Amino acid sequence: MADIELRGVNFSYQKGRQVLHDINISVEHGKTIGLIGANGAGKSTLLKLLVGLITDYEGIIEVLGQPVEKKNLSDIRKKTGYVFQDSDSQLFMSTVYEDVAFGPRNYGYSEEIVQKKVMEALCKVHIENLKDRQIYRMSGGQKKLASIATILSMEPEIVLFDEPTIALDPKNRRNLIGILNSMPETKIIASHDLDMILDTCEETVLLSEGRIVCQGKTKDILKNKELLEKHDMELPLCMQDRRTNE
Amino acid sequence: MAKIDKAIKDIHTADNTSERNNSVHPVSWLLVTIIYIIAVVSFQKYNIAGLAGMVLYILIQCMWHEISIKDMIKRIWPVFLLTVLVGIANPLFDRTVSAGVLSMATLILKGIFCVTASYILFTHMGIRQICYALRILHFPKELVTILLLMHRYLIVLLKELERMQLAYKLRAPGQRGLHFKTWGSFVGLLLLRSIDRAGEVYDSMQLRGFNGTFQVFPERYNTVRSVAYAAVWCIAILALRIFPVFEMMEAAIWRILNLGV
Repeated sequence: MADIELRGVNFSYQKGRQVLHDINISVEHGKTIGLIGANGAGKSTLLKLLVGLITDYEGIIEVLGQPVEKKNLSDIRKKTGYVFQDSDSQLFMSTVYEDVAFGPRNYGYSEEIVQKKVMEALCKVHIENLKDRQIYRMSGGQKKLASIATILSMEPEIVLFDEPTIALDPKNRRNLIGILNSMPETKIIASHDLDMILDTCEETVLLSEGRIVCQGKTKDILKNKELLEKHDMELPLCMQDRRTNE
Repeated sequence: MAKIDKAIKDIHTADNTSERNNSVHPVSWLLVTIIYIIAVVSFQKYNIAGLAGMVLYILIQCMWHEISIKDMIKRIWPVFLLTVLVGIANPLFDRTVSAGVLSMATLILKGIFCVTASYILFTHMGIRQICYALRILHFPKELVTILLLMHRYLIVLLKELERMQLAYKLRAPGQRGLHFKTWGSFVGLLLLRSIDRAGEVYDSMQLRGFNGTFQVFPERYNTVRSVAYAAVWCIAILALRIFPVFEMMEAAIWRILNLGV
């Protein structure tokens, strides 16, 4: 059984302006799927549907075998982490420790277990030294890693990333790619950063104006210059002919 | 800019300090503060000598918890100002001018004491523990959640304000403050942006299991200390309410001086 299953999903924020059209995606356990598309293609909306931040959709969405409906949201959210595009939206407590502990505490774990989970999550993203750091004193890269730790401390089976490499410098970006690759969870990564998608995802879904244009092996899609350009995207930098820029 | 940044920092620091330093249960703290406020409010409007004795609670708390009185005044002076403005109107409504002035002073003192006691509670407990205490005292969950989220919203609002102000300043060098023509759009946009951001923060909280109550761990609190703290303060406040401390001190000093003579 697939961890994530979407069948014939349609969604519109307001009548007459449909954002997603007939979306069919199946994500097997442990796979990493890239979700690419131009601005406004519907990537973030699709991720929000999976965690029930939007529930008035048409069609079928199942996460870990449970339909995404109000009555199942608590279960689904316990097993599905969502890393926001903007880390400032994700981090709202005063210190890294408090923020990472927020999820486990809400699920009723004792302080001893919470502490263990927090330390494990911080170690996974290599920021255990920032445990007591105040959030407002952190750099963008550190905040992104702390955001991921807030999700990992809940030990989710699925993690959804919305533009994880946005505003990261090359070193932090490389570090993040390493972390993403070391995570065994099922992952969906929505991004414009096609080089990162190439480095982290086995399969990719290309969205354009709310429709799936193409899905398959990442390498096959990302080397198709014509397909990408037709949908307002460009080849990943590593696949571009550098001589044309010189 | 620096002021906003400092305000955000102060809120976080207050949250942090309060999380770490407490072994007294928040319910004890909250109860003592509520009793203090009730005691302050219950003074007759001409009993300024009795009311003045209530300042001892504020002074002792500030000394005990190393709360800077200077910082406290700096942070809550707008509320003080509001209290004074309300009090100033009082002589117009009271029977005679002298009685009006007396009741004005009482009103101002009452306002200042209540605000200061709340400030001490907030700086020492932090919003999370206050809300936890309110829930234990069976305050409606909806109200407590609103209080908690308003506190979070304040931080979000300040952060957005900081960003917008920076963007404005960079494009309006040499201009002091905001031009009045931009006030409307600036405030409108600030509200829209901060509401959007607050929505995202709330989504993020919900996705991590938030159901209206912040979790606090009761095992960290020392029961004996908490009960003792509440008991001692309640007796002290009651004593301050019944006995006009300053009048008694004055009488005692006179007696000593007379004996000396």
